[in-house]
Amino acid sequence: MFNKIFAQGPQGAGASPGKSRSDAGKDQHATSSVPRNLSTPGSPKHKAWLDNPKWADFKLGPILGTGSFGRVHLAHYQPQSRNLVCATKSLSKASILKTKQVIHVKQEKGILQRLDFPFIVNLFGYCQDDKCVHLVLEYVNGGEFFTYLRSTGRFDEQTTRFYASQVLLSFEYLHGQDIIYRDLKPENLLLDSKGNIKITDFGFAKQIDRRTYTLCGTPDYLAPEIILNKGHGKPVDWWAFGVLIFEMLAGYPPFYDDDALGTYQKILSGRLNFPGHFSRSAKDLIRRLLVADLTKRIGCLKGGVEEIKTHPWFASTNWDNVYNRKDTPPLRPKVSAEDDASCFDDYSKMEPMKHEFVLTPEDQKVFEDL
Amino acid sequence: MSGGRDLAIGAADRKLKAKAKSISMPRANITLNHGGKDQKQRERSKTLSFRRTGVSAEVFTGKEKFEKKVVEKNEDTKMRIRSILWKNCLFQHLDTEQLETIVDAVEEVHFNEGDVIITQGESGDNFYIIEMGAAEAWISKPGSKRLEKVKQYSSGESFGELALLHNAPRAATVKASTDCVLWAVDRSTFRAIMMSTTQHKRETYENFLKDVPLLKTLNNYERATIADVLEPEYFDPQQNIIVEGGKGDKFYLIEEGEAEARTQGKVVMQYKRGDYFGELALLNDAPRAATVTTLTRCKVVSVNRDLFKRLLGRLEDILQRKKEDYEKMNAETAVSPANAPFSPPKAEAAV
Repeated sequence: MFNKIFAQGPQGAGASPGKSRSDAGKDQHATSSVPRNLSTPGSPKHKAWLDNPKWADFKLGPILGTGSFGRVHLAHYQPQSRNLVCATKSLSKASILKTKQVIHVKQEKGILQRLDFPFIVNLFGYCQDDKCVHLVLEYVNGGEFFTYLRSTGRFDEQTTRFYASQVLLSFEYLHGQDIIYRDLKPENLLLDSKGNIKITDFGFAKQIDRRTYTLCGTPDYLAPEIILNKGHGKPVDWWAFGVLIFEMLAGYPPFYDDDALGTYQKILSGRLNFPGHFSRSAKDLIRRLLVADLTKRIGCLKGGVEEIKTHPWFASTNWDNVYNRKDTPPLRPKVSAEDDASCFDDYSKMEPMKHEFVLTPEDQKVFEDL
Repeated sequence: MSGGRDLAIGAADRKLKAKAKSISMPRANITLNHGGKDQKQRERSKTLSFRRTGVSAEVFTGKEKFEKKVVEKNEDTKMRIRSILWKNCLFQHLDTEQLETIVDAVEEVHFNEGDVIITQGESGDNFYIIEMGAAEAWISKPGSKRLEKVKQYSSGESFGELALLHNAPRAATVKASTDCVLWAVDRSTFRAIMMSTTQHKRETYENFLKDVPLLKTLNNYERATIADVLEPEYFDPQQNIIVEGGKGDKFYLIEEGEAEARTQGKVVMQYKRGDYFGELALLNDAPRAATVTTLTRCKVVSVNRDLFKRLLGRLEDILQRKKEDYEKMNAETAVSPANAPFSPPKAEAAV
């Protein structure tokens, strides 16, 4: 396993999602390009995995991003004479405890460990010290999709469709394993060196049995049933998918407001205002996704995800080509090396991470079974 | 949107940039004229340039035990609280049971003139309703220390509802401008009420559905899906829910109350809580075989055939599929349930 990781070419091309796996899913749905037989517990067989890496063996590079409990660094993992470029996500144990998010961190690690998909960031391993839990992730060097979207303003339908289709297959894969993602937004999408999507940040992802109750996500992307505390399941991801398509096409999210409460009022009101340039089929697809009535929101009805895949807006999409990354991505990051961090914002002026308190041995116990 | 995806990458990039330039909408860093709409778009662009952070409530597994909290109050007060909750979009979707549980749980709190009730930027847990007195909301804009008064609250008004959903910093500081009596409810109480009531309702519906022979073949997931979409309807005593000979497209369950079925004027069946009727409507639209009339006030929940079909497909197909699965299973194990020696002893029921 160890060697397999190091043997990978630049950009962490990973186990190439070749034809064999694509074929595996064929007996399920004629147009399904996503394998569904990966639901066995534990890591997928072919997944590269570092057993008990030592935190001291990681040489940290620049900060790539920050979040509510910690930050992500570009890093070189250098045990002995080897070298692996990766991203380390360090989460402060103190703030995890303070905000009662322990279970979310465990879910993030546990879920990522089991996943292996072309458009989902790969987890290589994890370790911890007194202060932090560290997730060792594949380094995706093309930067944040968010940066590209905001600097361009908005995307045309072609570009939007390209990225929407990669997200769609990822959700099909996740839902096939009864995992809901719950935090779709441009901020959580990265681009690899070629310009393909990698979904990152599985902090709110959850293995579900029918439905779950904890309100989480990002205000602009919350489905009405989450705001109303009705209990929610897979359909919330398809709602968020509709919000993402809208935001890519418009440059702003459909329920935009200055404050979260205003956004919630708009989400609950059910009104949608489309800018004039949206195509008819784009509007139709978005209307079928952004519908509060769970008996009408496509993606989880009898027709399942096929209802979205076969929607006229995706008429030109060849789903096998999407899965196999055969189409040329519309965005092309400018990267010069595997460990090039120039596509990410500059966080060099950031102060070192602060920890709100020192954990007691009791507190540490919570993290023992990570 | 012309142009194929097989354009050279560089060309695609250039094309995208050209397109971005040609669009009429002002973009993040472009200032056009000073119309009101553009102003709004510029403001929006400014806030959109920040990365949005996720929000989360404390994790609720659904297994916690919820103790109902009841703070005694008279009927007048309850009525006032109810009417205020009804005005708020977060409470408008609650059912009667949920609303009453919240009205019961609301606690009285007192503040003196000048007291700070909530502080901008701090995390908060409570939602407040003003029973008596007045308060003012103040906001300091980013980069400025000066407080600006943005709103005045008097009795019958409320604030702080966002705290009921998740941990987000307060958007404003609210100070009591007179001595105040407020009604307050906190997030954990609110969420516990929401969760326990919805969960209780769902479990009830799922159990009701389990007893319907025609739906016996549904698996847990399918049953839960239907339980989620059952629509409540209320009937007064002596009202007809369905009428003999009428077109049938809905299947009903009685959640509260009693009713009876008559065929040609003769009572043929009595219904109480948990009973059901009209299930054949899920298969076809044969005319109703009986008239069902309420005897007391009734709450019934129903699902219609179209909706059922949208969610799970045709019931006939489900019945057929299950039949095939069942036959296959029997062929494999070569033991029919009837021939099985005995069912394994049940594990001690968890308490």
